[in-house]
Amino acid sequence: MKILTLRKRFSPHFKNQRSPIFAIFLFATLLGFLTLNTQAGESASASRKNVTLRVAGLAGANPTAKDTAEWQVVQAFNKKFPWITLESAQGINVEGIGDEVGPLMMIAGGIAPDVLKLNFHMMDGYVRQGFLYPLDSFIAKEEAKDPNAYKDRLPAQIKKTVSRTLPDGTVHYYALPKKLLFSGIYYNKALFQQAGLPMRAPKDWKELEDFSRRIKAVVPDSYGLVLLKGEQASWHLMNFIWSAGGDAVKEIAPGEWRAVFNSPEAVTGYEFYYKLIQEKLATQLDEQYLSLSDPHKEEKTAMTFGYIGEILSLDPNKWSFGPVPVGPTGIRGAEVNANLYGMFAGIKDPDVRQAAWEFINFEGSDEAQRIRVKSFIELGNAAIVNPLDLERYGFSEYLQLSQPGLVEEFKEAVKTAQPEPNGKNCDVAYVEMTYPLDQILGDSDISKDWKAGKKTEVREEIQKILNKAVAETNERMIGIIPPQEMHKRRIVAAFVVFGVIFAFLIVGGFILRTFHAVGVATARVKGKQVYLAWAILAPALLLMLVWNYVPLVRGVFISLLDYQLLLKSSFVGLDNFAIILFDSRFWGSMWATLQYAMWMLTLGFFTPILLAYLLHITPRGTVFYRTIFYVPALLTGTAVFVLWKEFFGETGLMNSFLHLLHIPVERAWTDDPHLAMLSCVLPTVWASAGPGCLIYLAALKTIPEEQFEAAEIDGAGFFAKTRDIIYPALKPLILINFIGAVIVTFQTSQNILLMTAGGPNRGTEVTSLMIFYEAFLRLKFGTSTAMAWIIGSILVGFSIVQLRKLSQMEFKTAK
Amino acid sequence: MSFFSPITSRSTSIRWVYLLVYIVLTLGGLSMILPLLVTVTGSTAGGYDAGAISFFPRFLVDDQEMWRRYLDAKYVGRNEMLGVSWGEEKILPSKSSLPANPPDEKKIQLWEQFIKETNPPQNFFLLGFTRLNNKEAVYYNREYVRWLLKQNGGSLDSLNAAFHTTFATTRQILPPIVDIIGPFSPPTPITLAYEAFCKTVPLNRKIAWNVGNYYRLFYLPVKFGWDIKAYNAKYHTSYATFSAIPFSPTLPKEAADYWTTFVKKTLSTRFIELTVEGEAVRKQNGMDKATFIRTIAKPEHLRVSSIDTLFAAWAAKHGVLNAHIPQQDLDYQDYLHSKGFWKMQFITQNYMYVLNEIVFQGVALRNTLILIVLTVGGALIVNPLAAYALSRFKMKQSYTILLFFLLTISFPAEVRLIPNFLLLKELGWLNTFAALVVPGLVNGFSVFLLKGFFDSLPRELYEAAEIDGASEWVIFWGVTMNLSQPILAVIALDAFTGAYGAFMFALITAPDPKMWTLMVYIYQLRQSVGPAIVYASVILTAIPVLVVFLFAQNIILRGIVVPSEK
Repeated sequence: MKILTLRKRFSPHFKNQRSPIFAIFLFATLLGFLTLNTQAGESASASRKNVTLRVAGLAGANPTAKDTAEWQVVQAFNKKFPWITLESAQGINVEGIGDEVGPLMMIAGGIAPDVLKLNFHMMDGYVRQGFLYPLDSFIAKEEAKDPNAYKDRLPAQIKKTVSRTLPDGTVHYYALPKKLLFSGIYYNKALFQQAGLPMRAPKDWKELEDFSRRIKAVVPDSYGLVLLKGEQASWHLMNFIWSAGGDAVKEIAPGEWRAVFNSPEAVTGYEFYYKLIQEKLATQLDEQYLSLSDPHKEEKTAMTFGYIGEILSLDPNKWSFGPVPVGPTGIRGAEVNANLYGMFAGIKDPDVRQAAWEFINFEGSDEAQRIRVKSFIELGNAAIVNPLDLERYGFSEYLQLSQPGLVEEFKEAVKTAQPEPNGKNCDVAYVEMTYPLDQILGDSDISKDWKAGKKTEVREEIQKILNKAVAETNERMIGIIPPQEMHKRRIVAAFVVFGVIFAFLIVGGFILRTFHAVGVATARVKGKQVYLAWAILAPALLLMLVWNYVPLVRGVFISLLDYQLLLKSSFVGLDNFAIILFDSRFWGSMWATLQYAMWMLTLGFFTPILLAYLLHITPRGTVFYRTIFYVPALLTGTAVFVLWKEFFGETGLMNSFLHLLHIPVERAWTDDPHLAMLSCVLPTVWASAGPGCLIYLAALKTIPEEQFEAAEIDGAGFFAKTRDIIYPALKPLILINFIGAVIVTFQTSQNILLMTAGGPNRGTEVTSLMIFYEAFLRLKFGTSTAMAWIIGSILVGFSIVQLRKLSQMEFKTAK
Repeated sequence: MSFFSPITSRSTSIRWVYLLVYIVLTLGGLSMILPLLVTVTGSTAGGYDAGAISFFPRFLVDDQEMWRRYLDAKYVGRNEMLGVSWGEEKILPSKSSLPANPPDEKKIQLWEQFIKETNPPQNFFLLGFTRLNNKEAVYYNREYVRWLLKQNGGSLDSLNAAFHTTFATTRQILPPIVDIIGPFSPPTPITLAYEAFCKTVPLNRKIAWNVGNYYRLFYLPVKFGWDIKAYNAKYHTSYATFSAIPFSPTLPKEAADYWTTFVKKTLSTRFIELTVEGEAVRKQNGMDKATFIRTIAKPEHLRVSSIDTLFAAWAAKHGVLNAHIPQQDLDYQDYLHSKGFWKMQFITQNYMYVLNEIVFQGVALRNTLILIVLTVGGALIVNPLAAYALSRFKMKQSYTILLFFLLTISFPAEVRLIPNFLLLKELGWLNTFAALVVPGLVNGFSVFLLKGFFDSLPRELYEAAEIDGASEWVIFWGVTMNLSQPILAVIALDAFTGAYGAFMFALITAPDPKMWTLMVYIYQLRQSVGPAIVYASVILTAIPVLVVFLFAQNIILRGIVVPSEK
């Protein structure tokens, strides 16, 4: 009971959110009535006040064909709705983490756009967190005018993805598609010609293998089929799984989803992927290479999967497009995707909401689509326009410019294509599917059996890996944990939380004891002076209380909640702890933290000490060297890492330097699993050696000269003097600095965010960076706070030693 | 200084130790300085030299290098364009040598006269120094933006209003993409403005789109694998090089199939005119020109009307046969006339770009300065006041209060971060300076440190001041603060460094571009530009720190707080 009342006090979000909105709505309606009455006779649109609509990713900046088309759509919108001023909503772009977190960061940061850009797999999470405003009333109004208004814009498979069933059983629409995209295969005309292949996409898997093999025979360094690597791999893998008759997730009951990518069909899909890689018919490349902006990589790419929306995404002079190859089952597993627009639920002003609706509705309308197609044609791009659109919007005379056969292929794609997993809790299904893929590709047993031709064993091994992965996915992503298992986890969590509390209590008691021993009672002040003292202290005390103590208490409660930014948070007990303690990624981040700490506490910590020692024993040039080593301190921490990220680049300073030494490193250090952690450490070592050594130099200067002289007379040599004079003089300083360094190192996230952003493959994602991502980029405040407590309880022991040492120290500025 | 006495210093083994120490220090020192030299040099690089390790910008002293740098920047980093424009086979800006002869003024005069008389459209030229890939902030990109802003009210908002655009930063304003091949956009208001701007640029800084040269020196060689023998064998000709192949504006007999595909499928339609017969067929079919050319037009219907063919025809009328556009002479003329100007440009261009972004058009520097003033000012008032109260008035709770301050050091920073962020959000302080300043204003350790210092001040001073009847404020300001300048300087310097380097917390609590601090801005900039501009931005951010350090070097050296055991 007590917890509940406290929760209310510390979390204003528990208040019913609907009442103010409702009141505003009522007020606005009332106002609307008043204006209607006073301005009778004037049209409704004239009485509407001008509003500014913030839209994410508004086009119109670059003079490319695509942007010009979008710009013209915006112009038409401006003309049609003069009371709406469009503004491009901009936030922070966090490099290396994908652009899907952008809107979430903007929502958290209080600069959410009114119109959100979404895709299928983001839908569920957004609806569950209450970020999207239902569009039903708007759609109903339009449908009242024209019953078929959304017949073509919302085909059956899309209708299901943009609508959600709420817990009360009602179905609501939360987004409208701007444009549907269909996946297919792009092929390189030049390479096909060189290999003497027919000018069409491979029909089935057999042909895909065959084509790739024949191209490799003619152009040995060709990539063959290029497939995405890392967390994006599934967007390509899925084409095989669907074509084999499998699926990623399945709805077993309304709203109940399960991962099913361990079915025999899915195994066939994974197996085929494995075969392509194993026989070097396909190459996995990072997303950045797949954008084919590098002509050398483009030349070597024979085929790759891609989308076609209103236009082809690759240069039609070099590339042609065909449907996804048919699998052994005769199924063609194409994907349909879409750019969706949704309305932000946090809009307070009904006029802005109306404006947002007008924009969402207009962007996907036939009117806008016609403008786009017309713009492409005017720019001379008719050959790459989706042929179905050419037909639909009355530009059939341009159809002869289209690639032959594209129309038929498109029609088939529209019929058979499926959307990516987007059911309840399925938002990261694709990412989950890449973990077993990487495992299969790297498994030595599978590779051995494959080479020995033991096909059944290979299948069995793949099956085994997938079974495990599916169980993990169901648990991690969908949250299906057997009650017994959950019970066990809660007990473990309880133990851990108890440990955390215990650690803090012990430490608290320790502090009080330590400091009471030191505290000396002095003469007291009386009367007016007491008030004066408190008055002077008040600002600092208040600030300290609000920004240090209150957050700590509140942090306790947040770690016990499923914290929601816009909706009501619910109490989940110790489940947040139970989740992270059994999350392998959390422990992976702890391992990364340890690695980082090892580097920093050796290389990073002892370099300044060594430098100070060297500078101290040199007879001449101390000031000169000290100045030189201090120069990097002119750069602030962020600038240091921004600079070194360039140095660590593929053709940057470090690789050029290694090249001189005949050590070839082909890729950027930040992308190399072995060098990535070092790349996060070296810039700090470089920048902090000089500034860091000053304090040790100052301490060394306080050693009385006579000590050295006396030692000399005693016959002490180089090592004896270092051991007997230098080391004792620095020891207390080293100790206290080391403790400080431990605490700082375990809390570092900025340097890693700037350098590798946690990559490659989460190899450098330390726990504090994971907390940052989970909290501010994915808005999982509950679990991230629980993680923070665990890290905090590990460090609290160090803190107490630090505090104790501080209390025993005197602080003087060096003379 | 005194580790070894002068006598022992002379022994051989110690000399070896010294030698070793100096070698280590020198290598370490080089590893400090060389990356910074690479940074400074790199900030003046641009195209082909962007990734190279160089400790000095060679183009400053080497004319050959300067000429290459000039060509690379002028030809927008497009290697094939140089040969096509000069009429030479396969030459690269990074490999070309200074012309042997001075520019031929006669040829240039003829060309200038032609331009004056015929006044060809601006899209027959590529404007030099307009690199589009953000590798360097080239001159005419920046000039274009400046000109555009000047013409349209001076601010980005007024420009957006004038052109109905939604540019969020000036960085997004780029010259339109035009090329010799591929589609060509019909004019929009902003492309018309661009053409008006092009008119203000001297002729020798533009590059004529030479269609004939493109055909014979790039289009055909690619088709024939750069082997003239293959071409000769196919058409029974005997050209020595591809550059000798003639280009006819109308359908030729030789290589008619290649000419037809080139003109019908590849060449931009702005360089193609229809013959009278062709125009009639187009009208019959009710097609626009571009579609007609790309679809049903017969090659006989088409005539190439590009600036090189027009010039050749015009020159023939004026008695000069086989006239070619003197592009190399024009380039060399500009190079010789404005060498100093372009050197200065290459040195400063990336800096000017970043400065424009953070100072003149952007708000990053302004935000950071405000933040520094608020943070340093706040830290120098709130912390000393608390320490003063604790030091001067011996209250019963003094010790508890000090502990209350000091204890916060041991609080887990991450646990604090999330609730603090949520509190700022609930207060509506996100994207304000309050969010960046208030949470970190009081520092437990600073209060602790200051109290210790204030305690060490002589009591007699306070007593004397009290006897003089000084108010509490006068005592605080005149005595305590006055005598504690070294430690206050340390605290101020820390506050400055913290505010100037504000990144992670600023990233979360002030993500609105209007509130970006310098470091957040640099982080965002790095994602969209090449190394040269990144280097320039890094150097620029170091300058304020350098200034502060120069003024405060005594504080840095003397204000180091060294703990020692009591």
